[in-house]
Amino acid sequence: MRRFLSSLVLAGGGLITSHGVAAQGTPGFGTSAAPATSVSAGSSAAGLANAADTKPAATDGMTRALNINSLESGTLLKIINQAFDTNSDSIDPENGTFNWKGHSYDIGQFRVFRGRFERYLALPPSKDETAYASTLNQITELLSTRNGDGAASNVKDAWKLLYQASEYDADGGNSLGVANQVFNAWRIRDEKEALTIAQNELERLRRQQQGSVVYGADALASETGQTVADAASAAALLGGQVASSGAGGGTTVQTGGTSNNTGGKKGTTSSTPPSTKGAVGSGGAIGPAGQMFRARELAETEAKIQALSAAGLLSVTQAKLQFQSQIMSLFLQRRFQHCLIAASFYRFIFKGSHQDLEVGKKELATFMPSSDLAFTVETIEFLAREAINDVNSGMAAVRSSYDDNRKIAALERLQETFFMGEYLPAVTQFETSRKESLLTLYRKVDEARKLADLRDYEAVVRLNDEISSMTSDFRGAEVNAAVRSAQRMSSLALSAAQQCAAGGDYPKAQEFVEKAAQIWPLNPAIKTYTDNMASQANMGTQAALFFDDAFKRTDYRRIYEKRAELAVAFLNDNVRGPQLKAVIDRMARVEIYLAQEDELLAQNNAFAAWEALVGATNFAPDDVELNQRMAKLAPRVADFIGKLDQARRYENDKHYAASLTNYLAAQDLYPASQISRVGIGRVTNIIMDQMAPAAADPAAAVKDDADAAK
Amino acid sequence: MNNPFMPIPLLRFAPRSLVLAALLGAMALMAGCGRSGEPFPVQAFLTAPDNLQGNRYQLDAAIDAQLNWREGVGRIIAVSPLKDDARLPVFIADSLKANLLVAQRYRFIVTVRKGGLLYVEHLDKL
Repeated sequence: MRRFLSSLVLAGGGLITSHGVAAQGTPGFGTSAAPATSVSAGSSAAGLANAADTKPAATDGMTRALNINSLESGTLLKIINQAFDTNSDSIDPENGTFNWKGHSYDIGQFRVFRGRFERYLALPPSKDETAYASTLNQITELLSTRNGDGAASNVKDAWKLLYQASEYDADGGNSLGVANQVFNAWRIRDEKEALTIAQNELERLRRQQQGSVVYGADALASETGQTVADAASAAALLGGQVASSGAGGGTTVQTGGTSNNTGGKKGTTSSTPPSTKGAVGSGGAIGPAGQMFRARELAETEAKIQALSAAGLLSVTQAKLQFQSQIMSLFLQRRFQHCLIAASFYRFIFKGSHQDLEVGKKELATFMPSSDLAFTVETIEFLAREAINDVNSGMAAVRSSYDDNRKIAALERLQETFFMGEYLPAVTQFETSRKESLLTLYRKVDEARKLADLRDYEAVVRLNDEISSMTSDFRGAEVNAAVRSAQRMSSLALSAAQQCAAGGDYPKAQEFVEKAAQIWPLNPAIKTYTDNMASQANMGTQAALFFDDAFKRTDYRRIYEKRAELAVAFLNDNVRGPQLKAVIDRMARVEIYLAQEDELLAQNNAFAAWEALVGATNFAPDDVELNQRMAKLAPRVADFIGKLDQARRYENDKHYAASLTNYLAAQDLYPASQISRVGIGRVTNIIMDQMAPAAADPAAAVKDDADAAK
Repeated sequence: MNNPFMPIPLLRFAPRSLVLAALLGAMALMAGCGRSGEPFPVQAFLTAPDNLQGNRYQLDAAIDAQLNWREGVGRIIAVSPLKDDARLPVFIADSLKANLLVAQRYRFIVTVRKGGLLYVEHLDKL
């Protein structure tokens, strides 16, 4: 027993001091890596271990971290994720619409997506894309389980082809990402192998240490009289304390920088006196203290073995999680081919027991909401193949619709298919001529949509005709009907505005014009209407100046001659309108008198004609026409005029009797004179009024007579 | 035939004196009437009626038309002088109680009042 223990100590000391492998804390033990640790994956493993506790967050973080090769913007990625989220209410795949806050948008109206789609339609497929597709197919073939039985050489060849594929622009570096992931997995596998070697060495050392501890216990028992079992128990107890202290969570086992020189006293015997039992490392010291340290060394070795085992396990877990994250990321990016390739590599790298998915379960569950199956890498493969098949079917539908001259349907199917299979060969290698035709149609439809938003209906109708000539399934009749309806509504509103304006209700007219413009801003009738209104406003200004001047000079004749224009201009002028009406009424009467004068002159009745002119002077005393006629007629009725004038002057001087005499004289000249008759009646009444007091008071009459005599 | 006739001649001459005085008075009265019976100057009146204000004239004229009448006051009549071609308005107060008819001829005693009003103070039918 003692020889066994001694050899174990010698063997263990030599191995440990030379190996220098650093143990690390395992998640289970709760230890942290020491600064001197040199395990390459230590830090990442620790991070991964922490991430394992919070998988959803870690998954997202991993996805982001591994998303280094994505050309997609974060926004687009979110949109895509939403698109794949079948539980989301934002996407309506049935109608091809995107719902956001209650509004529906055509998927094709996404600014980013539309830009990508237009770019896709505009760019012809390059030869590189063909070669790139060929390369990916070659990789897929090499990784197929049908070919080569999964030979390592095939896998390696496929891995090399990934670097070749990554050089194509269409790849976007995704192949490089997969290749790096494969390389990383292989490296971790190599590290795992190195750890296995170290672990084997430690196992051997542990066996030696166990022999040494057993030997020491036997020797101690023989010297102290204890039973071997008691000595071994004591040593084991001490070793257990060390081991437990190492597993307690606060002790760091440093093996890399610390070496127990237990081989210095190699070959010492168990006859070492008890006084020297406490000398550590002395080969012959097999006292209780020496036995205790040997047991502790054994415990340390066992702890190292456990640590290495945990590190190996952690490395595998780390590689698996990284790989699964990469596969999930590729799937979410719609890089379905890369997803399949990465899944194939995963299958070759990891055992069948590692096929269960640790990341992306939540995302996958959204694709299969009714299933409670365990999600594996094969599940992602299945979904990716389904997506590829859908894309291929979609492209077949696009071609079929296109060949049937149902290009709108082809365009819609192509948009849907492009949304899913933007990076798949079936989409990228769509025929250039068809893409150009669909691009033209797409742009015209988009232009028509924009014009419709701008309500340029004439342009919409023109484009509608063009689009209808390009494809048989465009609903041009509906568009034309809608346009005509809008145009008619606008015209009706404008008519209402014109009616309101004619009635002077300008606020209402403005309201209707705004409505007409809102329905059809480019309605040509609106321009005509506004031009007319401006013209009316201009004419109104000029008319106001003209009217005010003529009215001030009582030149009613000029106003009367332009009565039609002024009437229109002052239609809504509350001041000039009534004035104009009064002038027109006044001049209309003058015109009647003038017409009478013409007629009376024709009858050679100059006095009556004169009286007609005099009647007109009551309405327009300054009228030029009237005065000219009076001047022309005056010589023929001079006496009559003289008498009337004298009568009027006497009347004005309150010489009523003299006035009456002249009125009578005028009446003698023209017995039918209305002026005389009226004058006589008026003057006689005044005279009667004056004579009434005299009749009542004769004295007053005498006084009047006296006054008259004076 | 002497003395005894003496009282007789006084008695005989006394009535004669009274008649003579009456005649003289009548002549004197007639002389005054002659001044107020001056023919009315129609043309002068038509030309400048104010110049005749306060005068008294005799106007022989025919009734042409009644221009106005107010009860209790009088009437304004248009008359045509017999010797002129014009028509003249005259005022006849109701107090004269005259019955006038168109075309009847009258001799009016008129005064020219303020404003040229011919105020009839008396009228006699011719």
